[in-house]
Amino acid sequence: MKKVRIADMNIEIDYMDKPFFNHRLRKYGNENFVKADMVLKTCCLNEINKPKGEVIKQISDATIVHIGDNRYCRYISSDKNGGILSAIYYNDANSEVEIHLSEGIAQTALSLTELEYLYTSIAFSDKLAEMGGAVLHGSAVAYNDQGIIFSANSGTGKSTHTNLWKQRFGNKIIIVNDDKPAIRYYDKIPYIFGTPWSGKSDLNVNVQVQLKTVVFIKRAKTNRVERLNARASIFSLMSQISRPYYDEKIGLKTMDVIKKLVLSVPIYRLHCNPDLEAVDTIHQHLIQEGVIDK
Amino acid sequence: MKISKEFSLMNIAEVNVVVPLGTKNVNFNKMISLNNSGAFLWRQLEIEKTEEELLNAMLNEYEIDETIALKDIKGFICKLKKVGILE
Repeated sequence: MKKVRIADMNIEIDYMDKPFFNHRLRKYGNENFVKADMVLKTCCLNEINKPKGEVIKQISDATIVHIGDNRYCRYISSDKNGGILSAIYYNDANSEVEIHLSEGIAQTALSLTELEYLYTSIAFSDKLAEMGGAVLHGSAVAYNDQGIIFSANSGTGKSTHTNLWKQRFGNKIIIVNDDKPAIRYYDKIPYIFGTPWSGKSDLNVNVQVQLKTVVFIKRAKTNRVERLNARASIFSLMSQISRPYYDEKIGLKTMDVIKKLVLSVPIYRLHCNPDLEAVDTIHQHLIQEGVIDK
Repeated sequence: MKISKEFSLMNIAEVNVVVPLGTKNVNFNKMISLNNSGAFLWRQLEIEKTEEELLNAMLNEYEIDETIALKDIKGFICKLKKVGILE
């Protein structure tokens, strides 16, 4: 088991794809804790047996089973032969999570490594929500130690935009996480953290930076900034912070983080093109409004 | 009739937001917020209520003409049913 600390969460983790995860986790190793917040294991099996217990929910090809003693299993069945492709065993507090992947799942659209990445990312996100934080889909930067998250649907140009910030400001910019930064609150102040789940780019650093604003990106020909009202902020955040279908309690905790964000940081929409002028537009706007310091 | 347990009404920054939770969260992509009277009716419908009971509750809460109240209630119920929020 490897010991890591990600967004102030102590994790003991055992994974299958050693080269991939050794590399991704290289900045997060930490031997200085005794008790883990989460023990996370992944394994691949020839065949996954159907878990025994009471079926408490079924949606599409996913089934959730209560297997006793505050322990659950949610599994995905193949629509071809009904065999189980993946099964996640977890306890009520999400502090013990085991991800079982069937060899048959490798024949689906994603590789075993991609699935291991995806399921470990979900386990982390669930535990973080249980601890009062959230993962926001976006590319997060630290500009002079001030956190900004650029969020949008995949393919809109979040990474392109943060790369433009890097191009414009060089060493003043650190890309904290290029896909799913973690957010946690301490003394009512929001902070963003790097995590190893940063998408394809592997752009992430193990830092903690105060979050100053969230900017939703929308493609446009000309650049302009719009301050979002509470309603638009809430729905924009809801669209990029996932709430799991299998756990309403986590869904509600996630909504608490959205509430805190709406009340504690200004939220904007940047209508932008993929040029450096877009960076200047939002940068100047944030400075003028006193959200960030130059 | 009553609100499905898989929906919650949250007040965030004075906005009454309908939040789909659990399995409803998967395919529900509507963004619904309610005004104060809508939120009042929602709270009433968190436990089983008839249309008549809703009307009485609304008349007790607001100084409103009965005909208008009934029209509002019917419209509200129709919208909730349309998007699968009512059981």
